[in-house]
Amino acid sequence: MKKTAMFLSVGLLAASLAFAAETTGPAAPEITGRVRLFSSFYAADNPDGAFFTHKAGQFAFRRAEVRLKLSGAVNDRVSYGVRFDAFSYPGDLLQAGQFPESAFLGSPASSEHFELALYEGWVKVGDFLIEGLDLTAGKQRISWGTADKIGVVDNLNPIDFANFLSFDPDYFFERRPQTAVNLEYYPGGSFKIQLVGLLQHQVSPLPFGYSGLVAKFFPMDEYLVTRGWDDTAVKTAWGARVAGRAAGLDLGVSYYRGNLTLPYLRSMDAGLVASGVFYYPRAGILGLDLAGEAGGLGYWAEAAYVMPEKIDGSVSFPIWIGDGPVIYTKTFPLFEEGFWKYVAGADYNFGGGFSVNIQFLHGFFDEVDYNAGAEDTFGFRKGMFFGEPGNYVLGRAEYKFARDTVKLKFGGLFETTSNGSAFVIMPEAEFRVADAFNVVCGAFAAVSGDREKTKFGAFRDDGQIYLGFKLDF
Amino acid sequence: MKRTSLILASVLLLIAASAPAAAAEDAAAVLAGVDERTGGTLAPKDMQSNMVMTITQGSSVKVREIRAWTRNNAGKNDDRLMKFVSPADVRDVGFLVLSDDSMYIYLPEFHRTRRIASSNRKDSFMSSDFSYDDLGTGEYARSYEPALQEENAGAWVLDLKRKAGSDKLYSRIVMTVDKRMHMPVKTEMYDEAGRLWKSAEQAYASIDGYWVMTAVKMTDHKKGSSTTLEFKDMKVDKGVGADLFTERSLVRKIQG
Repeated sequence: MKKTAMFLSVGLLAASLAFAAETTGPAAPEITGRVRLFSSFYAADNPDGAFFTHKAGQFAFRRAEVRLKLSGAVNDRVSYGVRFDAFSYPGDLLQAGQFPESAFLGSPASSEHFELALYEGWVKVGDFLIEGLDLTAGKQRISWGTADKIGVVDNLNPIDFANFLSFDPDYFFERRPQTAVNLEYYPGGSFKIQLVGLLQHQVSPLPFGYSGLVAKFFPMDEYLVTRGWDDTAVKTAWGARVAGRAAGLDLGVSYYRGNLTLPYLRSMDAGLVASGVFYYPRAGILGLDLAGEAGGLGYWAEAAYVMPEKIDGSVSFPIWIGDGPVIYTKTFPLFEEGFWKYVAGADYNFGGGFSVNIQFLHGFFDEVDYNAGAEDTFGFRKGMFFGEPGNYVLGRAEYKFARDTVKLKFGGLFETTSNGSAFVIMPEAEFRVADAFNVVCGAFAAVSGDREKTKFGAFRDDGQIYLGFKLDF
Repeated sequence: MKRTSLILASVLLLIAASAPAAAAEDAAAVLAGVDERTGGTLAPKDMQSNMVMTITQGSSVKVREIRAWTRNNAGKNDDRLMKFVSPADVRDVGFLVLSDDSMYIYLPEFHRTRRIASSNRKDSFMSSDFSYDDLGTGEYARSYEPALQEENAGAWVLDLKRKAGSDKLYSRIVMTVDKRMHMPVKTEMYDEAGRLWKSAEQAYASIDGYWVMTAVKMTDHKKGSSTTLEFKDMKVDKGVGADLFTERSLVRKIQG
């Protein structure tokens, strides 16, 4: 509480100082936005899939999306940005067993599924208190690390796991903004010191039907999700990063202290009512990142050394001793004391509209290194969601022509672990019909891989074809 | 008489032999003058403008707007910062090029700054007839070997051949340099096979004692299209500091 009050006081002080110092009046705010439609359908039957069940041709995902962004600058030092995202799901018009009644006479609510979310809302103050110090306060996407989208260092902006499984390419590996106080200090030259304090514990949105998935993979009658933190300001997440350029390289060192943004299984009770406890473990994460180029080849790398808190997992089950059951509880350290996740990538533009991008990733966003006891007890392994870190090669070749109005992209993901390998292809054609209006058509298909032993092989029968329309204004 | 003829013949021979060397020297001097005025010690120390790019192909006309700042680093590439204003899907995208050829792009949708490989210089700039490389200052002498092709009362015409090891896009450039301004007013660029690829026509105005480019029309003869780039509200020598060409400025919202 004290910390929150301090943040607020400092923010108000900064704002009043900034307004007092302003020399130019506010410019009219800009209103920009996007209208986007995205629809996908399955290419094959999958009556008993691990993640999805469907018929060929059945819609996989449909949504209409509208973004509205209001942004501007009050003066040379103070700027702001507010973005609302609205989603409508035409696929949810009719629920089985229910008439599509409106909530009130004349209102479509309840019959048209609609969501409105504050994506971001921030104020940025330049030269806050001292020259070279910028403060951004509010809900914001925090810049952290140097990797191209697929990063391991950024744990401040949680991964959007819900959208990941929509296989919508605009949201693949996307992250969510968080409410934070973000201080960026530029002492001169290319150097930057960044300190971020989150004003909340961040969690990743999980895909619709996730509870059912949990029950499928870990058979249990009920489950409990605990936070894994006490809800005090001093226990929220924070991060510090120092970055600069040396010898032609952009280098960064960072440290994050906070919770992991996905829920991990901590304990199971195999009593009369089988139950499980999931929680968001706290961890310290040391990050290293770099970016550079050689001979026109751009390259980057990130490494994260994850140090989860020392905590025990457990499994309880009844054993019969004498006349009745006695609950036996086995405990074990849940995670290894420390483990690495890393990504390295490169891109090159051959000219004539042809470019390639390739990345090697060790440790998907959900993967952690479990202690052997947890592996044995819970069955965690490589090649599964929330399993042990595996290796992935992701690549994309892009060819654009007709004055960049047509882009042909061929993306691929190759998963390889000691348990097997899987290969996913993601071809896409994008047509820029007019300035700021694009139509895309593409597919997601896991073309090889064991359905049981690999993460992406599990989607072998969930191939999808999608169509999207996007207009920016 | 015989001896006189011999001396005369020798002198003529010497003159004839030295003529190409003199022309080459003149060409180098002319090109050095161009480099000095476009990106050297005789060029503005900094420039800022609102760029309006008009791309024309057949009946299709597209307009892009960019705010641009340039800082001259004599003897090196200049620093450049660009903020895209329109079309809407690239609004607030930032592009930073530092003198050592480090290039960064800022994507406002993700609040992310990415370093991009210099091989992207070969690419078309905003789907126009300009490549990213075309937008840089000349520094021609570093990459091209000049020869004087023609000289008339108003202009020199230089034939520039790409030096071995240079990664420049064009194998050959024929440049017409106006004698009054000592600036290129017409440039023809050739591809690897020696075919005419693009040509540019430049217009200048005298601003604060400098001849500053106010418009350039680039025609791509292969595509049959052209792009006109107009530099509006041009300001020079306003003391734009090195601190503008940083990640901090790249991500900052530009007022107005």
